[in-house]
Amino acid sequence: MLDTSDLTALADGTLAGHRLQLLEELLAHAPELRRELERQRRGVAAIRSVDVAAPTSLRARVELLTRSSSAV
Amino acid sequence: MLTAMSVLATTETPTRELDPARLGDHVDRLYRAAVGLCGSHADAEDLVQETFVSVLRRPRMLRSDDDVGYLLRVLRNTFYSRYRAESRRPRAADLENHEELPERAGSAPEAVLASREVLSAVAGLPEPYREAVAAVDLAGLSYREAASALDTREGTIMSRLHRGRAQVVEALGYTS
Repeated sequence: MLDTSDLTALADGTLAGHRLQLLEELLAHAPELRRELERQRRGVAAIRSVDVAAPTSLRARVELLTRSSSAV
Repeated sequence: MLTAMSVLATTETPTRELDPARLGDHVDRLYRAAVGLCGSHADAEDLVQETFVSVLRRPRMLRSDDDVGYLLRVLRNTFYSRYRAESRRPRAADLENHEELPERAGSAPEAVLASREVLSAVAGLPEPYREAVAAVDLAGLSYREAASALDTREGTIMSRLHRGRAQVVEALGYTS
């Protein structure tokens, strides 16, 4: 039986196989479910578009830590 | 004939030593998850550094190939120890108003603002949703890896992601 986890997985592209086929069939006749899928997709797209890198100073400190640890 | 020792030898999950030289590659993923978790760039920076100090203090044996999942588990434990000690809550407002976002070189100003807004929405989520979103959508773990890092089931991760993502969309004011 399908549940919200399937919609979660479809929204981020990890649903596959038989469950994907079942959900797609269900979506064709369920506008409310399609709206929910669209909302989930927007959430995934927004969160995964976050473009933040670690500050250079942190990167340098981590590199120093990993180097000194590797050298032991 | 099978002895008890030979059965153990064939059923035990193999372990390997964590390689410090490989860990530096994961700083960005861990940092994004840390910002989502604690809602502050300054705190996230401290948190990631503390995580590496803790992990590198002594050799570590892992049962899987999932270095990021392991680092995230340590980061999460460090985070809660610190917040328990300091009796503080995540500070979503810091991201909106006060802190400078260390964006990637060449990022457009609009992208920087959008990232700030999204991270602020993530930081404002209830704790279980925030953890799931930070692990899967910000650190890039699979459901299975996130479940292992957060000591829960895959189904729980998916359910928390569903609610977390929906609340982020609502906080951002997206309408269908």
